[in-house]
Amino acid sequence: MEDKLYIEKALKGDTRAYGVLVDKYQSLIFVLVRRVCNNSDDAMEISQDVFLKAYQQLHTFRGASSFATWLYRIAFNTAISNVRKTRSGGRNKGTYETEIKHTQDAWDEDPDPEREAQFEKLRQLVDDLPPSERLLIELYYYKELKMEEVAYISGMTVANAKVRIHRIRQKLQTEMTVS
Amino acid sequence: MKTIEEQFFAHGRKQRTMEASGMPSLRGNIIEMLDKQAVSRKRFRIWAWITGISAFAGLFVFSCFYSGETYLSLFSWIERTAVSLSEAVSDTFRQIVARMGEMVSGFFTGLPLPAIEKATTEISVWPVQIWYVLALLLGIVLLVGADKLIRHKFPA
Repeated sequence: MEDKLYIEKALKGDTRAYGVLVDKYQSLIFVLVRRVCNNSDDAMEISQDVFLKAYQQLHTFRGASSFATWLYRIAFNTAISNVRKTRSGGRNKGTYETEIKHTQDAWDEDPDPEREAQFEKLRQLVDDLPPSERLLIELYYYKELKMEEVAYISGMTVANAKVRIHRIRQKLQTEMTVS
Repeated sequence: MKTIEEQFFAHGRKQRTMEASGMPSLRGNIIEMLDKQAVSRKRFRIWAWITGISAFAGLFVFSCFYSGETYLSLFSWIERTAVSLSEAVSDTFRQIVARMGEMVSGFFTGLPLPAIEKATTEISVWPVQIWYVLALLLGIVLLVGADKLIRHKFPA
């Protein structure tokens, strides 16, 4: 409801009203595009692109989905096309690992080395997935979106999205049990 | 008891929350860029209008200067054709309207509805210009309706 008001103002050319929406959703978009970027700076740049594109296409937002879901769709497409352009779907793992270590220290009161090793392995497997699959995992498992929303964002049918996610999950399970 | 998978994703969510919390605001940058884009778009539009109008005016003056007589004969030919075409069309319309009026009044002859009969007689003698306007209005309504329908069905 509140978003709608700001969207209407933005459509009339009020960029400050759009700024409020940027503030509200930038972290969601950043976290999503960060999964297919080499570093935080690239992710920031793509997030910025996403908001600029969203502003240009704002008149097409009909409110059939939530504004966040609509933004995710633009972010998904922008991130994927950026990966195709740069041909670097991989992440700068050194930087990422440092970030992970830092956040682990902050969250884990009682670190469990065996669990950490499993986490690390699973994280590695997720990182090695193709960018589009990584984004699907991000949307479904990390952001806990509904399958219908994931399908809308990725431009697939619900059945297709279900099958893709199921296959990715199976692949990860197999890889985890193999080693 | 959480499974390893649940723990993994829960941990990932926490890590992402931390990651996002350290992100600087994009608001200022984006507002600045959008304002710049709006200014440059406005400037481009103004220049496009100025260029278009000057080019048209220049071309008009140039062509009047060099081929005024040709244009004069062309325009008088267009005028003559338009007048004869308009007369032909208005004649045809007048005939159709008169014929329709006859048909309608013939249909209602046996009915005790003097008001309808009177109305059809009235309509049948309307000048052709009124039919033009009505046809034009109907065309506009149809076009606007089709436009609305298409925009609604296939949003840009």
